[in-house]
Amino acid sequence: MARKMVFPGEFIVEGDLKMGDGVFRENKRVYSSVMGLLDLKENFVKVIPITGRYFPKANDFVVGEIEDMDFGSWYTNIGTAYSATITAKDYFSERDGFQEDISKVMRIGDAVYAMIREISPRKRVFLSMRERGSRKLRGGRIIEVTPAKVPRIIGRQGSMISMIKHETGCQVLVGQNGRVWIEGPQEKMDLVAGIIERIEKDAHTQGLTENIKNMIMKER
Amino acid sequence: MEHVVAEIRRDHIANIIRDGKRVDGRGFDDYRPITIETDIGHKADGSALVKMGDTQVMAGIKLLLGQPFSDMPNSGVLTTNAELRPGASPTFEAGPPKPPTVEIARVVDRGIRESGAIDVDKLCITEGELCWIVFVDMHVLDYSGNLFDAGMLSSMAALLDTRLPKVEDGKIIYGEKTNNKLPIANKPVETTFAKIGSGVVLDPNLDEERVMDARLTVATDKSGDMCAMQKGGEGTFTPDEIFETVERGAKKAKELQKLLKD
Repeated sequence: MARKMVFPGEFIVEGDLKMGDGVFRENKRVYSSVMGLLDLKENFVKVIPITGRYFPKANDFVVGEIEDMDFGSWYTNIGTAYSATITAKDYFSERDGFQEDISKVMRIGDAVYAMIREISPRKRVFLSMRERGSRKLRGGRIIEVTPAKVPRIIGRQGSMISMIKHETGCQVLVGQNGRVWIEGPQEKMDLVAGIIERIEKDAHTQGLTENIKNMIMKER
Repeated sequence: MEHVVAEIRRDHIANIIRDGKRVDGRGFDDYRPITIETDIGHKADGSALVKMGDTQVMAGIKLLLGQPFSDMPNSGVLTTNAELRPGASPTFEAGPPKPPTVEIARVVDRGIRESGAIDVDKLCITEGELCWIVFVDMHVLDYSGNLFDAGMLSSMAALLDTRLPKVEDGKIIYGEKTNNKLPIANKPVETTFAKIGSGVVLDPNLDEERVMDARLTVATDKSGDMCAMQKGGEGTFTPDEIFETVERGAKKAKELQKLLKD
C-alpha cells in the first residue's frame, strides 16, 4: 500500500495515540516533524523520514571517528551536531585491566564501531566500547549513506547485510548513523560500495534483496 | 572547528590515487561538471553563480565612484572579498573573516590583478580625483572542495557580465544600467591541484581536500601564461611536480576559458 507523504508541521491526526519517531503533539493534535512517509495505525502513529541527518538513540550501533581526546575520554564524530563521548570506563573492562595512558589504545583519527550507551537529559551522547560487537576499525573504508536508508541496507532480520557479506566475503559493519565500514580485497570493497549505493537509490522498490543478489551474480 | 578525518578514509583515498584512480571515478585531470549562470542578481551590476560539482559560489560586482589611490592617480580600484556562508559547511562560522576566507579573496584578487583582467587605467575618470571602484564579492553557498577555481570562475563570469550603472551629475543612478561593459582585457582562470600521497590531482573534492598533503593553485591567462600562484597545506611539492602542475594547469585553463562568455 502506498503510504501518504507528509511534511514538517503537517497535521496528521487528533487523539491519544502512541507516538513513534518523527511526530510531535500539541494539545492532542499530532503533527509531523519531518518529511517522510506516514505510518498511521489505530493507536499508533509515526513518520518514516525519507532523508535527514541522524538523531542518536540509545542502544544504536554507530561508526564514529575520534576527533579529540583528553586524559580520560575520547570524543568522536558520529555525524551529529555534537560529538559523542567514550569515557575510559566505557572502554576498559575489569578483566582486561586499565591503561594509564589512554592514547595507547585509541588516538585521534581512529574509527570505532560502538554502541550508544546513554543519552543524557541534556542530549549528550555516551558511547560504549564494552558491548559485544563494538571494536576499533582497522583498514578498509567508510562510506556514507542517508541514515533513513540504513534499515534497507540491513534488511529484514539482517537478510540483506548477511547476504552481501556472504556473497562478497567482505566484512561489513553498518552504523545506524549512516556510516558503513567495509573491509576486504580492493575490488570486493568496490563491489560492496556499489551495492550499497544501489540500495540507497532503489530503497523503495519491491524485491530489493533478490535484485541485489542478481547484481552480485552478474558482477562475478 | 577543524574537521578531523579518520585515518581509514585518508588511507583509502591515498591508496586509490596510488592505483591511478579517484574516489569519485574521475581522471586525475578532470573537473567535476561545471555550470555558469550569469545575471542572477538584479541589484548587482554584474553577477554569476558557478556550480562545480556540489560546490557553489556566487559572485556579485558593484561599482562605485571614488578617488584613485594617491600612488596610482591614473587607475581605478579593484577590491575583492570572499564570504564563507555558515550554511555552506558545518566548519564555517559567522564572524570576522578567518585565514581561509582571506586566502580565497587574495588568491582570486591576485589572479585578476596580475593578469591585467581589468584595464584599470580605463576606469579612471579624472586623474587623481575620480575613478570607478570595482567591488568583487564572492559568496560561497555550498562548500564541497576547490573554492579557488570556483571563486575565480564566478568572479570572472560576473565581471564579464557587468554593465556600468548610469551616472548623472557625478552621481550613480541606482537601478539603471547602461550598455557599457567593464574594460576586460584578459580572461584568467585558476586551476587547483591537490597532492595526496604520491599523486597530484586536479579539482579536489571535499573528501580529497580534507586529506590532501598540499595544494597548488595556478592562475593562467588567455595566452596560456602563468600569472599567479599559491601553495597551501603542510606538504611539499618537488620542482618537477611544480613544473608539471603548471603545464597541466595551462592545458585545463583553455577548457575553463571556453566556458566564460564575453
